[in-house]
Amino acid sequence: MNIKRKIDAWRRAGLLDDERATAISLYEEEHASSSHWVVWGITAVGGLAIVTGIISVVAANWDDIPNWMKLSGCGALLLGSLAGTWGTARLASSWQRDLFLFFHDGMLLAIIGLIAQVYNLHGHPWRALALCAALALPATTVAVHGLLADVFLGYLTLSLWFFLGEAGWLNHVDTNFGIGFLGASLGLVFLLGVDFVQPRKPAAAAALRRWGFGLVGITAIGACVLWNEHMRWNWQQAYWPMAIFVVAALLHAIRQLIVQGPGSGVRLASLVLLVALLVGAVLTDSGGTNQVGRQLIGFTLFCALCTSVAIAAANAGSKVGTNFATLVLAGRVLALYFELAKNLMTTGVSLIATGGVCLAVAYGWWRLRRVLPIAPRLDGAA
Amino acid sequence: MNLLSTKRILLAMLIADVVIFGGWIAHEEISRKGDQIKLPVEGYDPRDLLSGHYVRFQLTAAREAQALALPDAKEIAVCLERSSDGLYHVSRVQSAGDACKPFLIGSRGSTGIDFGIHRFYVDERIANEVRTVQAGSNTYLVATIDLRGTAHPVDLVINGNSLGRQQ
Repeated sequence: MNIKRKIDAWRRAGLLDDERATAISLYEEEHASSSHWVVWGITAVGGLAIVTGIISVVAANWDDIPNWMKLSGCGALLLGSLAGTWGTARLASSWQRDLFLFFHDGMLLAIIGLIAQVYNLHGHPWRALALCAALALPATTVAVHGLLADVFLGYLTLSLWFFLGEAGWLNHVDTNFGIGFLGASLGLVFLLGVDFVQPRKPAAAAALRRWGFGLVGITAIGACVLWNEHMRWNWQQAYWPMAIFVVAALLHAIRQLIVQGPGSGVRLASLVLLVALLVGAVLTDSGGTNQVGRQLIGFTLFCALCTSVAIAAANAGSKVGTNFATLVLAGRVLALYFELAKNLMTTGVSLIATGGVCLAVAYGWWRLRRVLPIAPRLDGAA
Repeated sequence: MNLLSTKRILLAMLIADVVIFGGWIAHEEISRKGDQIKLPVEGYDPRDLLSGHYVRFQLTAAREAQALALPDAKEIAVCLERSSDGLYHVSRVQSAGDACKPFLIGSRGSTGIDFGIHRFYVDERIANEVRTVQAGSNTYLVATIDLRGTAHPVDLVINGNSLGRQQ
């Protein structure tokens, strides 16, 4: 809907009088940003073309460039990105500053890689990533957007991953879903950190939520696959990653009870379902004959988890979270039909039936509450 | 965050970058200024497809140290001695009070004793040239060894051809 239609709608709803509506229309016409966007678009394309061209030329002649020049150039770009951040710190818009910082974070890994190449160093990738994480951390305090926190969390997660691998701690957990439990535990730890970060840096807290829910979500999908596997798990080998995960879940439950109090029933239910889904994927006997029953239990647990997450997100006012959880739930239902039906005809019929059920639920909602589950438009049309 | 705080953090980041990376480069340069020795290599493989243009190899000293190491030893220090062909080989395990020079310190990895050197970056054109070369007796790594027994690669010579560029 363009601005004129919005103004008309506001005028019809009595929110604007004619005089103000005319004034707003005139102002918007005078400050129309379409030409600005075209200029910005052309500038961006031109800038990207030049940068890509320079990278191509440098790459084509990489072996002819002396090492000192490579190191100097990389160092100049690294420090230049900070100089750019300094120069744009006064601007009202924070995007330029954050993009310079984002470039700086990328150059950290680039210069470490270059030093390793020039001096033939290798091994211990966790140290390189940990150094990147340590040097990228101050950028998250300066940045306004959560992108820099995402980069920091990415470096941190990868560093931890390589460290555990190098220390040999992943040797015994790469089977029996041990890595899944560790990933979910790390996700829960990120989510535990949200309360601490939120008052200091809301954008970084949002990044923590993204990584926390992302890691837990990926693990939940992994557990979903395991529920359909035909293998017998030697769960004793995964007992300590599982224990770490259960402890992390317990900490979350305690935090929910302290912070949210009695009103945290849906969130606690999500945690319980998550634990049941992950632990059950390992503990239940998949070598038995009732494979279909096992698949259906896994499916039901996953759907219940998605539903509780969607409700919790809706209660928290997160439209994106609600929609995403609902989308994942729909995807899982579709996957089940393919798993069980194994042909398109049966799958199609099952999907139509499921659609009918969904519409029936929506109708039931409307009948019970007398309220449409969507926001009505201003002109009165539903 | 106000402008002054932002600029203070940026200044701290600038200093950290200069000190850490400048110091690192200076350390690597100084480490390569000492006496150079030639360490024979084996297991030469020019096709390290996952790592770009790197030649992979194994130090002969790793195999020699493996033969001398105690089964439960996690770290080993070995003395090096120059043989008649000008290359340095492991002569014995360095014991307490043994001030032999040069010496190498390695750790036990998943495939045996590891001295931390497995590959060498080469020019793309040279990498293509040496792809078909069969490494022989005049194949060795030129390196410096610091006071802590760590080797720093300077050049890799395959069948008499230097792969490292003098820059």
